[in-house]
Amino acid sequence: MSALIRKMEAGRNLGHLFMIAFFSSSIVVLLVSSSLQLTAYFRSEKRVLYNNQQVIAEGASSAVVGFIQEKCQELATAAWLTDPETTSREEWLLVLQSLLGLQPSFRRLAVRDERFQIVAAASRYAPPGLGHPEDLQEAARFSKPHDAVSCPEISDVYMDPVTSEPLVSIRVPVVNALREFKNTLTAELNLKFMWDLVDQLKVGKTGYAYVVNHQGQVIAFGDTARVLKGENVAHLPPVREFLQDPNAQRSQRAQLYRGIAGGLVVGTYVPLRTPNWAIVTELPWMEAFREVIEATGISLAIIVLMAFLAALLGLGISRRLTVPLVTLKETAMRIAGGERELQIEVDGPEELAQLAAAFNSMSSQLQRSLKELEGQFEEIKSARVHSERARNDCAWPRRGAATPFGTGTCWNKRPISAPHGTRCSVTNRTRFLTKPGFR
Amino acid sequence: MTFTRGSRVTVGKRLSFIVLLGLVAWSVGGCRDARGPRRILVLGSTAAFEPIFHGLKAQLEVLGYREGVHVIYDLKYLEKCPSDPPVSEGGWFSARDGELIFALATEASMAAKKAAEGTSVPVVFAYAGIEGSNLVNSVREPGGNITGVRFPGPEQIGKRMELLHRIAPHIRRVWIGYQKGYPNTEPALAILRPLSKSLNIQLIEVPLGNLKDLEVDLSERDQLADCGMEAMLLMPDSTIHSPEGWRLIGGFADRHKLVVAGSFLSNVREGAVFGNANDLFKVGKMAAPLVAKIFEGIPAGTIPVVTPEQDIYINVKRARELGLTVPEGLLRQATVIIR
Repeated sequence: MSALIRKMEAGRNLGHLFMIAFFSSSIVVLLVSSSLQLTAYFRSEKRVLYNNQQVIAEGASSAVVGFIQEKCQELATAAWLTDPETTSREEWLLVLQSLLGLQPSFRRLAVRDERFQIVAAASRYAPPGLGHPEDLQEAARFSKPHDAVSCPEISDVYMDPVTSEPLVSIRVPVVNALREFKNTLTAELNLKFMWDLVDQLKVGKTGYAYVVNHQGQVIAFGDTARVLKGENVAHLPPVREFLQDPNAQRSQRAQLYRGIAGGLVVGTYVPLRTPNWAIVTELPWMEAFREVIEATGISLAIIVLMAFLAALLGLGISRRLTVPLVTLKETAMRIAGGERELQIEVDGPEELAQLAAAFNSMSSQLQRSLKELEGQFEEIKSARVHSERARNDCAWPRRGAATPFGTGTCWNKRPISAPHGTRCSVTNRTRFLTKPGFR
Repeated sequence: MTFTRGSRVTVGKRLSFIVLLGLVAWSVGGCRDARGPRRILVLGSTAAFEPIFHGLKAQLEVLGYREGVHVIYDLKYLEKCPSDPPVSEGGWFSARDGELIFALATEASMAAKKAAEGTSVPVVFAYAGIEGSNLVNSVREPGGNITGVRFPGPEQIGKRMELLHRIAPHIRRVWIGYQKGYPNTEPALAILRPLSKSLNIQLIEVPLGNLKDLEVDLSERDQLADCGMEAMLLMPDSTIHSPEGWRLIGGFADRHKLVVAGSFLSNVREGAVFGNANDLFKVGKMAAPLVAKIFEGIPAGTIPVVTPEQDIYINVKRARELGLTVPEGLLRQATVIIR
């Protein structure tokens, strides 16, 4: 284990280089490919989102239009079932009071004759006899003249001066059996009854809807305080788009902006046409792009995982390359330090294995040569000792001293051809000259 | 192994950072928890308006404010507290920071507004008359630190007279006893006086200081051969609408076979021919979003005042006992019919 660690430490620089290279290249490749993929996905998802938003907004608009149409229908039915030629004031009053009982959202009702005179009136609050100042303004709220009403007509939104609640007036014609115009039946509708409806509209999980009139004023929203304040939201992109072209079939795109609640939202609108309002739906961007965000998260996780794997792979490959090299280097250094018998384990890629084998071969040859040299050196050393001894032996008789071998020993061992006094050394020298590498 | 040791240090640092982050988050959360539930001081004038409180609690629960967890209610009654001064500096009631005063009906709302003056305590009133009481600057922009649900008194009192006239068109003398100086009284009289004149009805106005005055007036009329009226119309004040006040009026009307134009369903069940008022439970529910908005940090004075819808209750049984015929049109408008 410690050997492995040592090898790793030794091979760290090259290993790191490989790992970083693999990691960086894989990150770059993955990022580029993922970005391209995500961009394409985002575009397609935005389109899907826009379509979903439109479907939601259209559903919401149907609910709001249904709310208004239901009231128009009730008034039209009441007008249709009543013969203006024969109905007395009391009978009209009963009809109006029945309508008040039927629809809590009706605040006041009135029937007017051809001369715009009140035939009968009923009110949920102030007695009609007191004369409400707004009665005088009824004619001004509608775009058509009193006697030109042929179908239910809806006035502009106006605010109740006492309660600040938004109101509209709906007017339907009352005709006789010959379809001749005789009276008008007008109802004042309190739009606060639409607030609950709008508040309960489901726009995703956290989205919401609100209704604006043709001036950009909020007339229905979950936050009723803003409606009561008469807040104008014409600056919001979908509302601005609606105000610029109220007759547009639908919004051209889902837009990302700061919504009515202050958060970043994706919103769109659908015009209601009758009345001339629009319903705006807003979905917080986190929910709107949830799938894209999830896909991005998954992509990033994959990128990180792949990069990690690439780094591991790089580390493995670099180890496979560098460890034999490092081993080679270390072995060479140890041989240089004196451990001549060392051999490298032949492992790794083919080229490195061949290099290691060559190194081992070189090391073996070198070792053999050295051994031979050492052998020769020992021989020389031994010969020199013998030579010295022989010289000494020759020197003693000349000095008249006894040798350890007795008198005249040197002569007994003298080669026949050698001159006197130099025989031993000459003989020895002759023998040395036969050895290779000596002169 | 240098490499391995290095990565351990990095992981260790990261772990320390995460633990530190967790500690910070825990401490922040702990601080928030330490703040505890919000306290709502509910101030009422009589127990008759308690359904408003129940409506508030029910709707706040729906909005995610659980009693005991997120909000704590403390109900107090003006009538059970020292009255001189009922609400002021250092008295039995004082507003504290972080609280919210929820006031039931006009009298308590005015007391609450006075108590909260000069503090940061917001006031939400429910069923308080804003005409003549100077509670708010306007419906759209109440101003100060107050908002709430309006009592639609002037509209309702006019409607009450109209309904009385429709049910009993023969009636020419209508008794109206009212509490002197009560904020809702003057706006109601301002509607009733011209209306009764237009309907050819004589208003028998009896200003009252307290319940004793009411008792004296009715006792004196009891002694007379002609009590001086054919009908009694309930005015929107706390004397008339107190349990004792209603007991006196109901008993007198019963003895003299008078038509009582009432207000709440309870009056109608106990002998009034009809009544027009608001569902107090619904009024409380309407106030809940206003309270929630204030808890979210929106200044109370910027939240518009809301108005409840009116209900009509008709006691056909009582009308028949008195020989009256309730018009079909009125029956069709009625929310509750007692047969």
